[in-house]
Amino acid sequence: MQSEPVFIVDRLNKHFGAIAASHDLSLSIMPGEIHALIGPNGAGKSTAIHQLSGELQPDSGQILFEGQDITDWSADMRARGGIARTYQITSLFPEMSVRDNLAMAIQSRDRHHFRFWSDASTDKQFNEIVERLLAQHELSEIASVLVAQLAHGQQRQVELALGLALEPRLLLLDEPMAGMSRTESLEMADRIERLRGSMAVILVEHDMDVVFRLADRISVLVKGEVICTDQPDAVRANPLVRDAYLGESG
Amino acid sequence: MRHRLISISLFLCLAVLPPIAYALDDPFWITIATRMLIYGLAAMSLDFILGYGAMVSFGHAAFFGLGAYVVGVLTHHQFYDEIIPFLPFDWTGSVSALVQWPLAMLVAGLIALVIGALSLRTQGVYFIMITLAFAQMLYFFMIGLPDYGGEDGLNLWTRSEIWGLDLSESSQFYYVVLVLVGCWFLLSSRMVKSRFGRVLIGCQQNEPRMQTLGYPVMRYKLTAFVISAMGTGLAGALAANQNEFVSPSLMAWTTSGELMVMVILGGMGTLLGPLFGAFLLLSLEEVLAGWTEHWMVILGPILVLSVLFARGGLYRFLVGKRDAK
Amino acid sequence: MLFLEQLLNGVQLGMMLFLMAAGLTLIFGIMHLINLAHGSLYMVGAYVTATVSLASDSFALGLVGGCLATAACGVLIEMLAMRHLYHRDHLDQVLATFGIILTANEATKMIFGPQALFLNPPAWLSTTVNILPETPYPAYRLFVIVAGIVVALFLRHLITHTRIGMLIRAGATHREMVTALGFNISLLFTLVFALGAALAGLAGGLAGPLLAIEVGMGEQILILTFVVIIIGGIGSVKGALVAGLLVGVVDTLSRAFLPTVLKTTLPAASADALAGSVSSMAIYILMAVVLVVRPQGLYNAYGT
Repeated sequence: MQSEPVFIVDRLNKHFGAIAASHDLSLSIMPGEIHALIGPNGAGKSTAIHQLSGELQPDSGQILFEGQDITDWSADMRARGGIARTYQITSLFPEMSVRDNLAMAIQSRDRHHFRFWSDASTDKQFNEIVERLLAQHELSEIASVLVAQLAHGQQRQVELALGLALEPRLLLLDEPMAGMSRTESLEMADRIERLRGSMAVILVEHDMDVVFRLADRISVLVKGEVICTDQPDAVRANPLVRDAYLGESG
Repeated sequence: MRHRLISISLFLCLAVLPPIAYALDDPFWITIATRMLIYGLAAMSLDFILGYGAMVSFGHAAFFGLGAYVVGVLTHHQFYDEIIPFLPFDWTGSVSALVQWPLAMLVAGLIALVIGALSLRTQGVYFIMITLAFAQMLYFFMIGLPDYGGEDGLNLWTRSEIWGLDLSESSQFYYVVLVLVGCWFLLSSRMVKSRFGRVLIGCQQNEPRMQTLGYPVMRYKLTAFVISAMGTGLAGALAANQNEFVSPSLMAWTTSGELMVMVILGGMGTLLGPLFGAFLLLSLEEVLAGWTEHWMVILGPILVLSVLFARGGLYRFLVGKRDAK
Repeated sequence: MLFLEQLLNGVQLGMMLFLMAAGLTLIFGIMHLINLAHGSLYMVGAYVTATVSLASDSFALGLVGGCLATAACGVLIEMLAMRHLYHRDHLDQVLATFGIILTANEATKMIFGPQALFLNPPAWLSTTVNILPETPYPAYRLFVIVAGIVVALFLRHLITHTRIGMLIRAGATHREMVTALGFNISLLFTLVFALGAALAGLAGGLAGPLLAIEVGMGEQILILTFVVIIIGGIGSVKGALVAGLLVGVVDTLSRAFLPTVLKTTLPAASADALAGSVSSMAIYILMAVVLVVRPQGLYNAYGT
């Protein structure tokens, strides 16, 4: 692994009225690593992810990706620039099939959508790419099912596939296991583990077993601020972290 | 497939309507049908953004009226052989359909570009209210123009001219309108299946996701808005021809409301639904008006009830709900 | 002084718009309901106030009657139709309330006939007041301004000092949260709707002596109300006040002075025509400017 961080978050601040959702939030992500972001409820993890994906503008602070200042970049610019995300609350195209959902992600890579006449579903080359992606994510069997009719676990699978379809260099995973059963979570954890090395991953998760299994490094977020960034064992032993978790849960 | 069956039967029936009307010695049917086709075209154009892009424009009457006024102004100047005052070059207008109608679409499209660029910065309720407000602004602007009749409107002394045809003859005009509606139907059915259509539908179902997938959604929504306005503008041009009269009431907000009602009653997002909706609404108005002059007091509740209970629209009912798209 | 008079006219119009916008924006902020029939409630207020005033020879009674009748209509509409629309998308709400407008307009025509009604201000207000030495101004218009100020103060008290106000400030849109706090959400929604309706009825009643009371008056003011809400920000009562005054003043002053201003550079006939067009578009241009600079409106809704 190189020693230069691929993604730097420098002192993000975000206030909602009197509440500081993010306070001097700083992160540094190395290429190819799986970097977990954990913290007690209300710590501001989702707000942080929204600011990283571009869906929420910070009040102050800077975000650098591959050396470029992307703080002012809109969400779609960041996605085109190599940053993808998945959502904690499944965010798919409900009235489309699994195949069509993935097709939306793949079509995005082409950049040119002012095609008014040709039927998009008859493009052979394009369809092959979609089928390949379906197979890669073991979704071929349910490819024609409407996403709204899928079981929750399957929807989460599609959610992940959608993010990966963009072939990002940074993937923001917001609680990918949310609502999944034990077995489903293990399968999802396997999939995430296979990503190590090919892209940087920021993983927001509650499930500590998963976090300690997958993470190369962990950042702990408390009241909008990162209080500790270190390797899993060191984080586990860190007294500040224990206070934050044990203190919070009383 | 059911859709194909319905669309083919529909156009066939429409194609043989004039000879049947003449055979029954009641050519008035042709006039009614022409009116329904014209409003149907306007509603179908609106459906392009309403049913496929989730852009609820409450100001489409503006484009309808603008298209009509382009025809009105050009005919007026040609007839009186007067130079149009606000242009940088000398032109006394034209009554050629091949000049007027594309120009009507162009004007509608350009105004839509401006309105859309401003309005599409907003979403949801804001968008609805803003499109309404802009349409109202244009309505007042037209009322304030004394040169073109203001509130009283403007008479057209002749219909548009197409070489080889006589548009003042009702069945010839009817067929021209029918062909245009057919063309729009073909065009829009290709557009919704194209890449561009996919982007629109994606925006309708989950716009934030489209953004985080990397789509710069604004430019596609704006393009769709402009295309939709152009179709409605063409309908306006045809309406000006049929009535041989244009007035600001074409741009009234109630007209925008009527177009939306046609889309919903007929079935939004179904391409042909709005055409059925136009037929339905205009027929309902005719029938109810025959019973009582206060027919609106019956139409109002019908409308409320159908919104509450018959959401899918007539077209989906005909096709069978599960096969709706 | 002519300018002062027109300015006060603008403020008076602004107050009427505030009354309309406050109700509409509250209904939208709490129930997420876009209600086109708000204009119809205004119309009902005008008609009932006029009818009761003419019959009883008391404007005060008319106003009270108008507000109560409109609030009652509001409750009726809310229970019959609006309840089913809260969870629907905005398009459905627009169309359903559009249907209500058609029904209300036609029903009004059936009951009162198509001619306009006219109402004079009550005798004690039919005079003028010298706002400055040698500057008379219609007392009734001052009354409307004062009424607007009173309502603004009342709403502020309601929002900052009562439990309902607390819910409004918290942006109480979550049924679960509100019910968990021990409030009956259906009742809350009905009360808010009734309040909005009463405000619209008051606006209509006050408008009676100033305008012709006729079918269609509701829609004219409704669209202006929308412009006010867009500029002020949906869900903000403060925004409704500030934007209402802004729109009222801009509209009135541009109509009053634009012809004169343009006549200095253009020939009289064109100046008049252009001034007429531009002044009727003035508030929409203002709206467009606000949209470019701040698309969400001047003020944020409560709870945001």
